[in-house]
This record gives sequence, structure tokens and C-alpha cells, in this order.
Amino acid sequence: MSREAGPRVDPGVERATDVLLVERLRRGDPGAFDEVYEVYRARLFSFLARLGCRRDLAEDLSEEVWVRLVTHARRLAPDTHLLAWLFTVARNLYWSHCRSRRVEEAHSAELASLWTVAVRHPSPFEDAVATEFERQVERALASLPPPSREVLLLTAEEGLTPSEAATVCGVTPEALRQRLSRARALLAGVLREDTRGPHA
Amino acid sequence: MLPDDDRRDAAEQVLSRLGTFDMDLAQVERVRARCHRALDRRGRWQRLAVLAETPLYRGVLEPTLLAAVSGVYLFEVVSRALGLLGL
Repeated sequence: MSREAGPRVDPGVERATDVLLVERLRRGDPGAFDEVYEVYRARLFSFLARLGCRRDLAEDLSEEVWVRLVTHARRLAPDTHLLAWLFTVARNLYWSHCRSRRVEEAHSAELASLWTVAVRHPSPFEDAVATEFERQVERALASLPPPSREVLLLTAEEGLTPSEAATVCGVTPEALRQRLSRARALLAGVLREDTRGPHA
Repeated sequence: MLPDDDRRDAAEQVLSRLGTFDMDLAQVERVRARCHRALDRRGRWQRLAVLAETPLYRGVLEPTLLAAVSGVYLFEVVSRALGLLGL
């Protein structure tokens, strides 16, 4: 688990790169798939892992998203925003899974197992200074209802604009802003309770 | 204790720089291989579709095939009709 955010690409550059990648994907170029896979794989997996709080589920759903990308590649619109497309498919698959299995409850205990596979191992110093609040936020995030978790992950973590996140979630930008506001308030409330602790 | 607004801002800062998880290496390669196979299958169909658009197929092979199938069908119909008439 990396302590620092991965390098975020400038949205303009990301869009320009997306246009070229989509064009190559539409032609069935395996090299284009590899590039998309390298750039977005960890972000997509992290989103699904934090949304569902389960590593096994995130693995299954990620695989399904990637297979859907290659099977639908020819039908992608030339101006497709790949990150938004991938996240839309991922969140739709997640909610389908929840509807079919009724597994919406948080599995926060399982979140700990996610820390075992790291992109980069932090130094002991980084661990000491950064871990506690980060873990507190991870715990708080995992305890939120999935719709609130989803909207925070898309906007605060992934940096999508409210309108992009609204497209991913299939709601209006106004509805998303309301949902985001509720999610922020919930997160602050959970963190406040967590800070007070059980003996407060 | 931090006020809620500050706590919320701090939490969002943490959220924006949360690290990423990744699939284990074996899973990464398995998914990549599966997707490459799917692309390859699709590529083969695309190549066949391109072949079907060539002048050779359109001008020679397709009419020949159609004529052959139609001929066999017509021959079978005529044979059965003659058979029913006892000829």
C-alpha cells in the first residue's frame, strides 16, 4: 500500500491520450489494451476494493470490467473518457452484485487484508507519521453506507468532477452534489466519534 | 478537538492521496491473457469480415456459392416433384 497518491495525470493530457487509446482499442490493438490496463488497473481495483471492502470481490469485478472493455471496444464512442467508462461499468457491476447477493453491509474487518499487498512498502517513518489518520479515514470510509462511500471515492479520491461522477453514478449533477454533501457530513461524524473513542 | 469542518477537510485531503491497491501479479497476468485472447478472437472475425468485402469475394466467390446452393436446392425440388409424379 502506497502512502502517497499515485501520479495523477493532467485531465487535458488524459483526455488527449484517451482519444488515441480509444481509437486503437476500437481497432483491436492489444498494445492499446496493455497501456490502458497499466494506467488504470490499480485505480480501478482500489475503487472496487474500497467500495466493496472485499479483495476477492474486487478481483472478480475488476476482471469482468476488463473483459467487458475488450468485448465492447469496437463500440466505444471516439470521445469516450476511459476512466469514467471503466468506473461506470465497475460501479454497475458492484450494484448488480449487491442486488443479487444482498451483500451491502460493510466488511471493514476484511479491509485490513488489503494492506498486505502493497504497490510500494512505506518506510517506518512514513508509517509513523501518516498511518494513524489515514487508517482512521479508511475505517470511517468503510463504515459509511455504500452510496456515500462511492461518491466520496469518485470525487475526493479519484478526482472526478461532480458532473463526471454524476455520469458514472447515473444521477443528475445536482443529486450527486446532495449525495456528496451528505457523505461528507457522515464521514466527519464517523471521524468525530472515532476520535472521541469508546471512553469519551 | 478539531471542528467538523477542519476534520472533513483533513479527511478529504487524506482521501485525495490514499494509496492504491493492486491485484496480485498472477491475477494481473491471467486477466491480461484472457483479454488478449478475446481481442485475438475478435481480430480473426474482423479479418474474415474484411475478406468478405474484397472484390474477389463479392464478384466471383459469392455469386458462385449462391448459384451452387441454389442449383442444388432446385435440383432437389425438381427430383422430389418428379418422384411424386412417378416419373
